[in-house]
Amino acid sequence: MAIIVNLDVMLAKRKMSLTELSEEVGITMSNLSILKTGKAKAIRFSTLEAICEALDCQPGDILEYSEE
Amino acid sequence: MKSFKDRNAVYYSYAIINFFWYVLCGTAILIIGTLFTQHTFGLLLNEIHLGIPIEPDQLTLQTAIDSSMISIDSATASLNADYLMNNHFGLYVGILVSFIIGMGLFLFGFFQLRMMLKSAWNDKVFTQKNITRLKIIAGLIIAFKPFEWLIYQLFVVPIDEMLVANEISVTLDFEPGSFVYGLLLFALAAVFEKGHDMYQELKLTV
Repeated sequence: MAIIVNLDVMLAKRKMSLTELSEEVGITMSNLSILKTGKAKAIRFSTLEAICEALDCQPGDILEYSEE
Repeated sequence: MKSFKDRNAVYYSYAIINFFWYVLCGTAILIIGTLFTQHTFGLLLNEIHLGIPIEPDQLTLQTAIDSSMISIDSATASLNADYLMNNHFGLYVGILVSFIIGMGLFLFGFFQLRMMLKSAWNDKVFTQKNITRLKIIAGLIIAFKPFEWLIYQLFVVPIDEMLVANEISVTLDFEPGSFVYGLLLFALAAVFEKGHDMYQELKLTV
């Protein structure tokens, strides 16, 4: 089982770059890269909230559960 | 590297270990230099201590006491290494080599301790390198007594047998203390491994 991060999909839908998101949310590029590439071990509610607010989406749009 | 204003227990430990590290390195170089110089010029001062078993009746006592009332385990003799070098060169070289190996291993272990404290001073304690360093120190502590015993068997026992007519019983003086310290360090390495995992998780939390 795995949690897939669809941050790149949402960024493409909103036509936003990772740099723009980083500036808007206030999270470093390296941390957003960790999240985008699926290397993240955990995500804080505050981070999720900020990303959802910036991308105008729901947590489910960013995170997806997949049974492998 | 932290500012020197942030001095704490880690800083002082590192400073002390660092000081001893340089003292030990200097001493090691001096000892090796002295050994080789002595070998070259024959100015041998090193002595090898031997235990010689003796009986009370072999002694001349000032007061007349029945020898059965006295119990003596052994006498200690010192052997000038000059004798060894001139008569049993193989043994002499063996002792020198084992001494240098032992000193090298000790310095290697001490260096690991120094680097661990340095990493603590730099706030990088739970790293894979430190786990390996702890395991190395633990391994060296555990291996020290068997190494010492082996050297004793290889070099000191033959000298004893050459010099002392009495029968010598050689026993392994096993001290569980160092073995337990080694095991404790292995346990600490396991704790560090867990700390390393937690640190990685923390680093990958966004």
